[in-house]
Amino acid sequence: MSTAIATAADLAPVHEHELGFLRRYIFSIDHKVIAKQYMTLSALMALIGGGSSYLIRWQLAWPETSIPGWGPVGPDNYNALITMHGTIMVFFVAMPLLLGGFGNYLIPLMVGADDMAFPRLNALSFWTLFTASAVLIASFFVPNGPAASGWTGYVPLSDKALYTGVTWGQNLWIIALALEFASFLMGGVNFLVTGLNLRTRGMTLMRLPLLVWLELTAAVVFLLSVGPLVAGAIMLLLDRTMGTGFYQPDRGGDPLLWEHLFWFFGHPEVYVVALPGFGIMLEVIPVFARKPIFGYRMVVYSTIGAGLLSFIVWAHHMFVSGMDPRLASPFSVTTIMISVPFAIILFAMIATLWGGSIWLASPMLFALGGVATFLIGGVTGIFLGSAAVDIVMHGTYFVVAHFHYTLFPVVFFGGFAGVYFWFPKMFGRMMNEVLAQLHFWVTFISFNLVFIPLFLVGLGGSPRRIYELSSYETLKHLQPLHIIATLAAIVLLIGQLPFIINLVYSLLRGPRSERNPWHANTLEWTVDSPPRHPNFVVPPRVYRDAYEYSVPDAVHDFIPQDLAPEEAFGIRGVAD
Amino acid sequence: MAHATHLDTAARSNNSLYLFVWIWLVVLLGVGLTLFGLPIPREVAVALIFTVATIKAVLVLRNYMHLRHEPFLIYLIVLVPVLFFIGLALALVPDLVLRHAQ
Amino acid sequence: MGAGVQPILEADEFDDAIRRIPPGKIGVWWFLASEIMVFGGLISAFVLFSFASQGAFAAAATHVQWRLGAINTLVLVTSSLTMILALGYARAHNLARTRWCLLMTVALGLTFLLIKTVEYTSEIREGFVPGTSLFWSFYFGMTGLHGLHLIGGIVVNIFLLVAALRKPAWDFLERRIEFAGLYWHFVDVVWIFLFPLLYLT
Repeated sequence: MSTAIATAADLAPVHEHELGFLRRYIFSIDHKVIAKQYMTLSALMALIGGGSSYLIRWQLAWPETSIPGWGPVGPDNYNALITMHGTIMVFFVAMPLLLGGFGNYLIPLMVGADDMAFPRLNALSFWTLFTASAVLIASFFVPNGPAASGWTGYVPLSDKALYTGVTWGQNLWIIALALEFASFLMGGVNFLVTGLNLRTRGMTLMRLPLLVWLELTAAVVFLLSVGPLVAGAIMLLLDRTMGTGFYQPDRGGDPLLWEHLFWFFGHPEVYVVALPGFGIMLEVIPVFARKPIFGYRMVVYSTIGAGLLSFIVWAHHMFVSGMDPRLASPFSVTTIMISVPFAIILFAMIATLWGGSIWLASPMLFALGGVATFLIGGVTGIFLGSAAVDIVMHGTYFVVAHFHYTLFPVVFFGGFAGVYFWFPKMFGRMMNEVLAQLHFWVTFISFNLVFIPLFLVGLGGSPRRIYELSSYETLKHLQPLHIIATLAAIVLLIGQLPFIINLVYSLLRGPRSERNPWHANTLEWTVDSPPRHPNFVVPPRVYRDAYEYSVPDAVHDFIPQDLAPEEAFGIRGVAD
Repeated sequence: MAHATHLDTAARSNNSLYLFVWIWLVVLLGVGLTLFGLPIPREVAVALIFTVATIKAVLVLRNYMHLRHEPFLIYLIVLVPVLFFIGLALALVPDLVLRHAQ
Repeated sequence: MGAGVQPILEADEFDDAIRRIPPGKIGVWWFLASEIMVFGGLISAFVLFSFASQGAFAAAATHVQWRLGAINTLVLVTSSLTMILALGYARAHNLARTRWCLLMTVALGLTFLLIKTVEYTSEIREGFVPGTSLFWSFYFGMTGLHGLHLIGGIVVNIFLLVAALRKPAWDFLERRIEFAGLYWHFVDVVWIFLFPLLYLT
């Protein structure tokens, strides 16, 4: 059997489906189209999420002023803004981008499959998320406005209209989240079955690209953690609409139940977001260091370990909630333990750089920026994991800075690294590197300038979720820090313009990309840019793992997973 | 036709197993109801009734859902969530049970 | 052979065992895992509040109609039998009996819902609504959620019945009945636990 890989030129035109515009671009069941739909939705929601952060930051820096382009923000509006900012960013930006977008696009390609295991379920999962987004956006326009009890929806704020004044908005919030959960449950099932059951010949588990491992782990973690919150959300909805008292102490209920159920999900959820972000970095770094990933097996085991541990740390969000104090110690211990697998993953990324031939292209810059900033986030998480410290720091800006230093790196630095890296594959064109570098530096510098001051604000004792702090004498001296953070935030938001311009321009006029512009090993780079239908004319056969870079005696400094050994080592002298 | 007969035989032996399991499920339902009516301490009754329920569930899982013949991964897919929510329940005991009971 | 050349491995045993599972089947099992967590969460909360209620739950539970609940348990368990028989007959390519079993399963499912409606109606008439007390909140919440899942299962089974009324490809029908059956048995298992929890404590 010939081992020559068929090129696009060799093939007679594959039977082109005569699908109408609707079936091909709107209700498509092709994972690549669906992935782009997820990414588009994520981008649109990011505009709203980012816009809300502008309003929040302006309000904090210059309270009681009218915000340019918007107007004044009062306490109720502020609470709604922070609620929607958090909800949108976590559930409607991060997850659609990292899981729905990159997961959907890459998992079938990376395992050598032609599509997801359940293509129609895939389409359904996107449209469910679309509906969820519509419901959430609708909540902005209902009487009494959108939910205003934080993205965490603590009771009794979320339980009774009395406290926030919100009526329909909170119900719609619950429904939107329920739909979002359903969407990602469907997606998660698809990921797991595709990644485990549709792997091509030779693709053993230990040859899977790390991105696939991390996406699969995220899928399992989401699958297993969301259930109790679904139960809790049902109870909340019943409390709000049918007069039950699950969370009301005077009716025999308990507000702490909500916190436990929420965080039992909420903590694994942040790892569901973080793991795919790491996955992207783990794919990008070896390519741009021309070195195998350091400690592949350790990274896999750490990922699984982190996934498991993520289920037993949740109460570190509740140290000052009034829960039984005896729970504090065990959860502190487990929280500190979970830093170990994440540290291993980060060290693996850094160790991969050692002795490598480093190429600071934009994907690599973003990946490294993500590593550097996540380190700060991770370390500050260790501080917060200790109950004694958390008692002082809980609910302050220290926490806000901590979680932005973990979420922003994985979602945005990881996400942008992924966009710049896989854009050539997805669209068959190269992005402009100058604009990309500008985008990186502006983002990196301004991001740090937003959140380092917020660590200091938190250490200075300022609580979060308060719409203006100028009436607190003891906090007045922190106001300059807020102003610095806001100015930096405005720069950060404007700094995304180079990216948007780059994106649009490259989509329309970018230089054509070859199949494998980055000389990477994973299977998606063996097909056309963009891939044809079906992805693989012949199901690929995998001979090795994904990280054979700079192998001595090899013809090139990279060996694709599906390249036969004779070709890799120049017995036939086949150049790629 | 011979093929159909072979299938019939295999199906019949399976079907008799399914019927057998059903009889046990009904019997155990009766046992549970009887325990409910017995004048024994409430805690004992509850514990026994739950044991009965668990046996019924296992019967359905192993025989109707074929867990007996499925690969290990599927056992894990069932077992791990059960362990997780039992763990969740235990972690909630201090806050929901010990506090309310005061 | 230089460094970095690995022998061409075939899938190892564990990998192979996973890959031989039909995608649809393992897909249903993953979904059931998340459903276990949903009902597990509700059941955990119920059990904990029950322990904390110091008899209030038990007192409230005396108003629940255990006879109707027991009949419903019998109904559901029997529907599990008919569902699995449907699979057995489908595998034996016996179309007539497959159809019958599917029909019986749907009928028994609807019977369950009917009895449940009778229960709800009489309870509401007596003044027991979700807001009456925490026990009743859980009662209506849990049986309601279970009922919604049952409706979903009935709808799926109706689709299968319709498919079986035409001349189906056996392969297609067998697999679909198996997957629908897994979901149906799961709904039955949930009730096997809900019944004693709500009716017999």
